[in-house]
Amino acid sequence: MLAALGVNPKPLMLGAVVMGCALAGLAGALQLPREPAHLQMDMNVIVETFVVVVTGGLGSVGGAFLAALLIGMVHAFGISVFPQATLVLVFLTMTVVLVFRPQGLFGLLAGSHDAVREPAQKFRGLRRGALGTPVAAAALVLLAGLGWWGGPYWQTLAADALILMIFGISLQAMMALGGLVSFGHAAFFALGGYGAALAHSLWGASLPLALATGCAAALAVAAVFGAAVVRSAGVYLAMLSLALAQVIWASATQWVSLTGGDNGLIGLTLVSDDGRPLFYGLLVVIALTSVFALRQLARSVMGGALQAVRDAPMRATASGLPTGWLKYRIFVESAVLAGLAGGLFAAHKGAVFPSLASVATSVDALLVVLLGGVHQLWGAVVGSTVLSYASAELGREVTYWRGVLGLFIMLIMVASPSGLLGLLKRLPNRHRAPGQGGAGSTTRAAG
Amino acid sequence: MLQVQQLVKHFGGIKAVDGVSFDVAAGQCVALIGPNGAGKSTCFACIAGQYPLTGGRVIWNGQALNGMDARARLRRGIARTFQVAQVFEALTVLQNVQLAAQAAPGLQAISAFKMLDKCSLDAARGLLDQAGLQTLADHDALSLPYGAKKRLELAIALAASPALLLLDEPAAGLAEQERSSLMQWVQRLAAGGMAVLYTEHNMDAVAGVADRVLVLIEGRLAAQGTFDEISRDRAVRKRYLGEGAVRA
Repeated sequence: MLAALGVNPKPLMLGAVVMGCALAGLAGALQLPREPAHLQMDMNVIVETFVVVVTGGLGSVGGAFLAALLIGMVHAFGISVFPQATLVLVFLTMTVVLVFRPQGLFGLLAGSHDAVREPAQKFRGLRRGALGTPVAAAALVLLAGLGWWGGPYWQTLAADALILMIFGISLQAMMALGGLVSFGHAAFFALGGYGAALAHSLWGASLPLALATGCAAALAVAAVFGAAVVRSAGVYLAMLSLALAQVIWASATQWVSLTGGDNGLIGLTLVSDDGRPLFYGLLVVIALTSVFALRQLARSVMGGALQAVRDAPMRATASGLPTGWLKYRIFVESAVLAGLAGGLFAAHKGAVFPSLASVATSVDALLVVLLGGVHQLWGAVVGSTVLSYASAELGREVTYWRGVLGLFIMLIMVASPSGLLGLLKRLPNRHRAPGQGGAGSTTRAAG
Repeated sequence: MLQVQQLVKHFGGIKAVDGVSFDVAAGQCVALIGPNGAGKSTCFACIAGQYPLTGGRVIWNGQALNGMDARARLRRGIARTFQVAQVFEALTVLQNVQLAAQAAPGLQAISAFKMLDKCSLDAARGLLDQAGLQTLADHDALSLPYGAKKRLELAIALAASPALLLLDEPAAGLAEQERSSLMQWVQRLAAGGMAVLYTEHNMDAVAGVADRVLVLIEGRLAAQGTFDEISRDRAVRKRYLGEGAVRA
């Protein structure tokens, strides 16, 4: 709109970003007399900044100012009054505000942003025709087989990737079909992990029972929490889920008698050495089943309904679709699958730690999905494989591997916002006539 | 039959709609017109269930609709379209109508185990034939031109087999030919026994289409009758249609 009036919006946007970055730099420098520069600075401050901005309401400077004061006071008084619960108080404050005012203290209602909504995205399979899916499935089995024959190192790496894959698919289902983005999906991963670990260490549960307990823990929390969050949308929902993850993380850290605190729960023998091949096979089967379940869901009436609610909520309601129920259902189902991934992680590693619920774990899930492509059926599979391989192998070969990995991910996101698979699909399209392919093509959903 | 009785809607101190009463019988096509700010959009939104009423009643087949949400209204046979056409862009044209037909009966039909492509296929194809969209059935709704989106949205609304159709500016943004073919379709629906109520700014979509025209000015019903009758009404000509509005 602005461009139509003869104003070039690019320098304006760039200016806003530059000014924001400069202010952030100034704030960082001002922080130095209070605490020395350290590696965790970024993660701590970005989470708190998000909390302040979202509590105040997006787009409201006054709201952010007031929220900063409120959160700062809650934090300061929390330390003296409830020293055990300091980690959760800030997030509880945000949760209370968002549950009663989903748009934050001074934010605008979500509906008023409809005009700048992104164009609808179609959920896609690998390629048109019946061959794409079996070929991709065979490739996954082949890769997993190679991993197994490669020896213990590759077995562990492949098992890590498979678990990350299942976790990623759980997030992808709610992001791609429901349009629900979560910054705290690790909450359910950790609930699954701790659920399975506690079932095993307290009651001596075997693997199936431990996994079921983990899933049940994730289901129970998602069933309650989901009812509150599906009213919100966009970044507010993402932040509420982050708040939940932080509460779970704080509980895992501070409820020492149950969770072992920072030491975690170790020495779990959910999988014996003899049972390893079977467990590895189970991981492959669950990963493949998850992909096929997602494919089935995307093509089903419910999948269509979810995408309808995501793209045109008013039309969907007017056509009789139960919008709240659909969002709730995909949220809970996604949480249960994340819980299963967490339980499998506990079984694979033989230990669980509070880091299962950390922001870094949630970011891993987001990276897996975004790297591979949110709206690509095999997106999480590709994303988790690339991420697991890159973080393990780069770590061995390259000194500044985290930096290299970060640059690689930035490059992918800039070159192809629809992820690696989106990039692959765009390459052959260059040879077609303009107007073919892309949004206008008639590719069947998740074919 | 739709009965609107003494409908009142206030926004703070502003009386957007102030005691409007009318009714729409089965088989009737009724247009709601008026200048900008006259309260027709508010009146329409109150009938469609977007706004709660400040006063008065909206009655459908003897039952008051006050407080019912859009889904409850749909189950009672009331469907609507929006001023800016809204369709399910990630689905194909055919899937849009299939989903709407499938969703109409309620929650039990939304299954993760039924393939959308196989549901309500005949009904959906029939509606696409009516809409003239059969050749575009397998195209993504995202890629449709605006006129086709308007027709698709009407097909989506009809997939619920409504008895009352509420259309919010059906002709807005359409070229002349698209407009006349869409309005002919609306007329056929009314002739088939459906009650149709629509708002409109474009008098070409009202004259010769609506059986009855309701004129709202400053939140009140200023006149009603056939288009010829209201276009002869001096007050309506002065306040809305202009002096050259009388048609042969």
